[in-house]
Amino acid sequence: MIWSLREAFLGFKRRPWTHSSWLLALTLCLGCIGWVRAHAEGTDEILKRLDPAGEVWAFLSEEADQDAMKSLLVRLESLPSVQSARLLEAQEVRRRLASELRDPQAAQEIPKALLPSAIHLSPPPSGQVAPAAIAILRAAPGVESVDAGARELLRTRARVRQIHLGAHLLSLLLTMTIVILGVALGRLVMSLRREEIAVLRLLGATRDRLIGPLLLTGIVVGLLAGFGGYCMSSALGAWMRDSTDLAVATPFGLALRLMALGALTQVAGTGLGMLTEIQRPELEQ
Amino acid sequence: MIEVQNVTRRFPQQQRPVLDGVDLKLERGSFAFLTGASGAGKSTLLRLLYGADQPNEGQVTVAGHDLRPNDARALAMVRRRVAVIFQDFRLLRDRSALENVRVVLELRGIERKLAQRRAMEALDDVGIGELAKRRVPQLSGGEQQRVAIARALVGDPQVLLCDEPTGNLDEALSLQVLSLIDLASSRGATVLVATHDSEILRRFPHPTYHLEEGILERRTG
Repeated sequence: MIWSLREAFLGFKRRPWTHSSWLLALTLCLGCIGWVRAHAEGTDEILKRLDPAGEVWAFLSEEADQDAMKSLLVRLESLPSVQSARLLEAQEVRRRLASELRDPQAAQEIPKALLPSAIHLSPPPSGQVAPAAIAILRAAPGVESVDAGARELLRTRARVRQIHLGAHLLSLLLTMTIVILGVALGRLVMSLRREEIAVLRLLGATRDRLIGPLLLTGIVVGLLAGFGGYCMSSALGAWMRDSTDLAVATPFGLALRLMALGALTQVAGTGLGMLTEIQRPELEQ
Repeated sequence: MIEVQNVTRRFPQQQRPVLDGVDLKLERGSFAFLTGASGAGKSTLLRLLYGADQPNEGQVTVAGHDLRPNDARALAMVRRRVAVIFQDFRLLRDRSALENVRVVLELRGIERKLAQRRAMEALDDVGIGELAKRRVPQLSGGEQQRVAIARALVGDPQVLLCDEPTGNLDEALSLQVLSLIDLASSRGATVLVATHDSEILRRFPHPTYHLEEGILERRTG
């Protein structure tokens, strides 16, 4: 194992151009997947930030009377287009503010004393809160603002869903393409080492002595390329977030997925390449 | 140690077999030359002896093992006892001279430091110890040939097969290399050397087998 590992790393020193080209090509491929995945994950975040359709939120002023509010909630809940009407907990208010501010951290940092009270009305399944209920809410003393932008919300949601699905589908197609490309790349590198494999076989190398270092090289290249691809997509994502305010997410889990994908494609590629090479006669007639 | 019984090897697009019912028996520690015109089948016979090719008929036994194609591990083990000096050297071009020699021992699981020391000694024996760190493309043809010889000798092989081992060397060096190969024979290795070099045949009076039109016959010794 130690010998195989040492040989795997020496491969980079012995064939710097082959290995660096291999690594670069795979890094670019995995970086492309990372980039598309970052967009897909970004749309996931946007969807989480969007409120469920048909719901109504209201912020209360500081002067709002608690008893009057309780009575208002009972009245609203008795309406057929309102499934529930309730005063939100502090944590729920923070979440709501986070989605409005687009900054969860800032919402968390608001002192509890400064948090406004808020009411939430949810409609019955597949329905919407009736305009009459919203009018009652708006007219109630102590209610400062009401957010019932259901129609606009539905349109936004539809657009985000479309982009979300597109990004996920694109990343799936790209992943399949990269799997094929990655395997082909591994096989190509094995064919470049055909002569070396033939000589080692002539010198009495058993299959495990042959396969060990080459497979480990593939794993190392796959892992490095996966991490490189993640760094590439993270850097692009950071630049895009700063310059365009688009939602692009590169969680660390993405790095692990890219590294696993890189390693698996290279194990498959080098493994298949090795199988082809060791079936081949060592010397051409 | 080397036993070839009634071996025939024919290739698809050739009417006449390259080897036609060849028999050869070399005992442990013996030294023999293999001669014949270009294309007579010398390299084909050597290929059969290290299991890189299979006969159409007959049986090849080397170092006590019947060389059959179906057992890769057994073949690998036989090859650890059979060293070959190839006409085109077959060196690993991306490695140094030292690494080329050391790899033989490393493939056998010999500890790195010991392998390094023995490889260095083998390079010193063929007179290129000072070139140990140079990569193969940085070596001349003659130096590469000596690396190939050091690689063949470093593992104390039971059988040593040489395909024109002095082809790229001047006369003095050819004699030096043949002396080393002769030394391997005196240590118990069975040696078969394919050569055209009449000077070597004259200087080293060992049995000579001549291949002509697929037939192997003993000429001298």
